[in-house]
Amino acid sequence: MAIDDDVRANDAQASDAPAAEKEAALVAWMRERGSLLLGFSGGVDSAYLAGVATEALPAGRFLAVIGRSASYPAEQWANARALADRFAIPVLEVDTDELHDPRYAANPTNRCYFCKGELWSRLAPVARERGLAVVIDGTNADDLHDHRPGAAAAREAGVRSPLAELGFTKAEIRALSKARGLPTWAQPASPCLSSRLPYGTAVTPERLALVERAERALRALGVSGDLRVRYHGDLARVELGREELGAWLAPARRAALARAVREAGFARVAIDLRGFRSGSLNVLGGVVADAGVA
Amino acid sequence: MSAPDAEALTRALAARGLPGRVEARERLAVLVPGAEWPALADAAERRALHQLATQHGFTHVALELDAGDAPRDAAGA
Repeated sequence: MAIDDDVRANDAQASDAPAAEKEAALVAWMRERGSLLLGFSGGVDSAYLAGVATEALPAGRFLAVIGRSASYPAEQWANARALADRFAIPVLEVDTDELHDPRYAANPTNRCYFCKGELWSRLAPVARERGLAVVIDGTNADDLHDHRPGAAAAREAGVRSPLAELGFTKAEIRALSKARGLPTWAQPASPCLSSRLPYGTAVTPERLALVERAERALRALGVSGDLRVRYHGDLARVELGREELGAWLAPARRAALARAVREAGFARVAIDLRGFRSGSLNVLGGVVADAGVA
Repeated sequence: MSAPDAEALTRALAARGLPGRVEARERLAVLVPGAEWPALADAAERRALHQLATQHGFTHVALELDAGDAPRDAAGA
């Protein structure tokens, strides 16, 4: 379902009870806790939380914290900073060091557990130093059905997930974000760059930079919507949104696409014929079963 | 799911008029096309290829591109 269809389905209902009531419940939840620190990536969910919290809580009682490392796409960082500036979201940046954790760098199927563990270990002290009562993340209700090893790290660190706890779906978050004027309402999902590497392929700064360069080159070429350049050693497997896939398979455009990815540093380029699939490396790695041909 | 079989998939593709080579990277089938492959702009064509690949033990299928000499559209020159 395209993002617009998703939101239109909820637009008619955004003013109806369910989503509006959930937002009111979210504000109440935030005020009950009094002060919050948010792990802020600038993605759809954390942007929405940041927008609500900035309005709901008094100055000094909310802080959005960006965790920066080589796995955090530069484009997403720039968008997060721009959003914070535009909506007066109080923001702090801290460096995280998950790449130097061999358990993370080995890229096991629970890689995210070590990443999130590192993130919360950096953010929790900030919350304590600033007297912020609760650390929160942007996990939503739909995420609860996915393979999310990072959730265990959040639980262990005492991090709360108000969007999930209050039953917000992704579609509702997008619709409510649109109503607030947040540009992230239509933003594709943007997981960390390590998600481009198959499980078992070691995460290194060089490989992360390679996939990031390739994706940036394809955006510059005009690819819009969902995009992933999956790393397979010398081969880049390009996943495009299904609405874009047919157009980019035309001879002239596919040649330009291949050239751009090669110039980024890959020796070989292939286009995935099924297009973008969230979590496709979970399927390739046998973590989850394939849902079948769509 | 059956073990991925690149050779069998290669033969199946050839039988459909799509000669070339299949390179198996675990459960990813990399299709290295011959000269007469269509552009595959049609979603139904791509779905059919993906189904064929899954029948031969693959979960993913990708078409290799050559930047210097893109495969010709079978409908064109």
